[in-house]
Amino acid sequence: MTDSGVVYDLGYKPYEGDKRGRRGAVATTYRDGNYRVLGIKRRARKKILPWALAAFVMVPAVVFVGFAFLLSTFAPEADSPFGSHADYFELTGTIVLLFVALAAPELLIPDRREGVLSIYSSRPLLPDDYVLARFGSLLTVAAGFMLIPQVLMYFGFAALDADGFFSALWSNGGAIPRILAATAVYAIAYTPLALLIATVANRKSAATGVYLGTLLIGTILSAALVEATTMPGRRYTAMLAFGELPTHVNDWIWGTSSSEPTPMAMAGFDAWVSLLVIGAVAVIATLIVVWRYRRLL
Amino acid sequence: MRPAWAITVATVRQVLTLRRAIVFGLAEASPALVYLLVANTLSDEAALDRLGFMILIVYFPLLVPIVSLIVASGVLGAERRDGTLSFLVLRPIPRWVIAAAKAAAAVIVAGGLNAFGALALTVSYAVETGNWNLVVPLVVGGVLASIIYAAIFVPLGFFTDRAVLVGLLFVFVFENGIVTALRGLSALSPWRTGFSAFIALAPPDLLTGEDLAETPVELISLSTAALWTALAALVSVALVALVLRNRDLTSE
Amino acid sequence: MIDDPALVDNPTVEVTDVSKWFGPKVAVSKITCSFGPGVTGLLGPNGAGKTTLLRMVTGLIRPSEGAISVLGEWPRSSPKVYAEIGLVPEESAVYTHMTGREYVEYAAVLSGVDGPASATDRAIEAVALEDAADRKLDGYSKGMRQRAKVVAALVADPKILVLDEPLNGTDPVQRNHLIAVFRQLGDEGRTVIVSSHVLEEIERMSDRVLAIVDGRLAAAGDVAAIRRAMSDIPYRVRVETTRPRQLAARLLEDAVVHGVAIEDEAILVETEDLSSLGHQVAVAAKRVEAVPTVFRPEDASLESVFRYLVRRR
Repeated sequence: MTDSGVVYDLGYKPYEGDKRGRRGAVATTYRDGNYRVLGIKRRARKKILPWALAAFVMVPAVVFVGFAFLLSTFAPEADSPFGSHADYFELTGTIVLLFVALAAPELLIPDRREGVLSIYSSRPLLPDDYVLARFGSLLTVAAGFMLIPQVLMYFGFAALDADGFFSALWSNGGAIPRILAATAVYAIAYTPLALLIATVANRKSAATGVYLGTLLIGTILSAALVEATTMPGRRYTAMLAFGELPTHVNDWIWGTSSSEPTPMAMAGFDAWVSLLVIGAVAVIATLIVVWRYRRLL
Repeated sequence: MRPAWAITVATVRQVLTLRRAIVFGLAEASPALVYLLVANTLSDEAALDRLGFMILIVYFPLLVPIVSLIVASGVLGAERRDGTLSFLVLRPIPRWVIAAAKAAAAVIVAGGLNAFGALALTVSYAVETGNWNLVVPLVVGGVLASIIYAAIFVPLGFFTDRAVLVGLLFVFVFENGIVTALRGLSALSPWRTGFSAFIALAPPDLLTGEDLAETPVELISLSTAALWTALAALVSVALVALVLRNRDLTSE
Repeated sequence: MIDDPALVDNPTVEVTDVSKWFGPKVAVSKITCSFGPGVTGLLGPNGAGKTTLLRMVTGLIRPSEGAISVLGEWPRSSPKVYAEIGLVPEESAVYTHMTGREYVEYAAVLSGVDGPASATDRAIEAVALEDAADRKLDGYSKGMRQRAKVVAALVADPKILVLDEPLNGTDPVQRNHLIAVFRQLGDEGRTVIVSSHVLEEIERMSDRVLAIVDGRLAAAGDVAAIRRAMSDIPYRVRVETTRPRQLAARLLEDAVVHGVAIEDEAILVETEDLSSLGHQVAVAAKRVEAVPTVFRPEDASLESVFRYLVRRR
């Protein structure tokens, strides 16, 4: 028996393409997150909810623009009874909240329950990268839900403007930074808390229920505390109404008032305080999620 | 009896982990804490008014349904999805006993948590006003509503892993939307059945006719509420037993 | 006495013309077989239909066609039959909030065992799980979870034991121990049905094999008998000798020899009549003054039988 050995080429070829390293791994995780929350490349029933919510978000914008078109054709002097950007954020905010409540558990819980985190950690992907890629996915899609109908309305109304399309685009150009700002506020307000709850819950359904319950019940109780108590510092309990904080900021961005006064407005806080609370909650929630995943991965 | 009790205890332990007990406990106690802060400078009448707000806006329409549906939908559905259902069904136990034991676990946990919430709220009221007459009525009302929610969501949790979402739609769109607009459908709303039981057991001077007209509830009698509850529980157990007996219990 | 090797005398489990489909996919197709006391191995490649068959036997799923009886009854219609069935399922799921002992005792209580605590102790001892018994299942390795499932299946002392890939994740020591346990249970007269795609495990555990390929029963009986039944596939025999070419030339003249190949100092002979070939090799070797040093059938093992069965589809 000899000591030498030989490997015959039976058709196996080692991979000789690019190895994209850490950036590639982050990009792939981010893209996978987007696909996952939208049900892309998954079974048909995984698409039903996200695309139904997307339709709910888009349809009113189409209706608004369509109505404006009809008005411009048949009653050009009349003003459209609906269709301000500010109002639309209030409307879509609720739908985006529901979407985030469903999508956040979908992003984090299956990887933990199905035991595939070790696959991520065996790649050039740090725990922080994984968390930030998942955040990025949810933020992107949530922001898209808010932004796309706004863009449709912006260009749709401009197209119907009596002064001409480009003129309307220019004169309404001030709406663009406001749209972007309001989109960012809503997305950042809703996403981190949902991901935090999805980090500690073991079941998707429980995470969804706890997230929605926390926001709803928190809003109601904080409104009760702000309105009806005389205890010192009661106004600060308005900060517990997480679900209403972006609405308060949205009102300030557009210079409008929402249909129901928010607890923060009732407590007499300026919108920048709501913005500060949103930012603080986002940072704290993100740090907790990162800490937890550093232990898991 | 022993296997049934073992299933119930094991399920309660599985569903009510320490973390969940803390989270749900805090959620159930929060209306009471807020009430204590709100009511300490109010007259008895105003305190009652505030309590009514907590009961009719927070406790029954939000807290009881959300806690109940999260708990109940996981009791049987989780076993199927986790792959432990075969452990349970390959036993010489009648299927209805398994179904009843699981339902009992859901009622113990959901009913227990909601009873705690009711207790906390009414004890807060009693501490403020000295009136202890609402403790038992609200506990009974909360438990009855929990039983009906469990009856609906234990089987639903088996059929779909989106049971909580379906439940939230049921609560927010149907119960708190459609039935609020159409009071005549109150009998189809579990929390309204619980609320009716609460009103039936509470002192008769609690709500005036005018107060009642403003609530989104068409009241039913205590006996009707109890009957609905028992019927819902029986139908639920029978349905689950039928499914365990006839349906394929694992996928391909 | 029944002639068909797929059937046994005094069966405890009978499968009669059973098929199962999931939508357009046929998982099991017209299988008729029975199981009785002793260990029967259910062999087949991944996706062959073994797990589907076992799930039907235990009543977890209903056959689309055909009938299954366990101790004379269909288990789903008569849950009391479950007192005599123990299942170790393929899925690794266990109740992670319980300790190993609690898990086994839970199984004992649900099965109506008298004295569940002492039955638990006995069962844990039988599978040598004492050291880990009081730890949460959450912290168990895959092999330990598998053993916990085996203990939970054994605690009720069932007459019929259905084991779906029971040795998954176990280390060699645990595997040997479990194989010995299953063999002993079979020797005690229990019906043990064990499915695996690991041929060595089946060979060591079972006296009788049912091979399933593409949802159909491809072969039944003991390994040697199945091989003999494959009369369209000649045996390959390795003969090592001092004068391979001369012996090969002489053997080619023989009617029982199908074909001959030379590999280094050995001859590979193909024949359909294994017993006659032995005699012919001896006669031919004497004639050419060769000394045979090895005479070994290369494909009478379960592995080669399995390979032929899979290749035939």
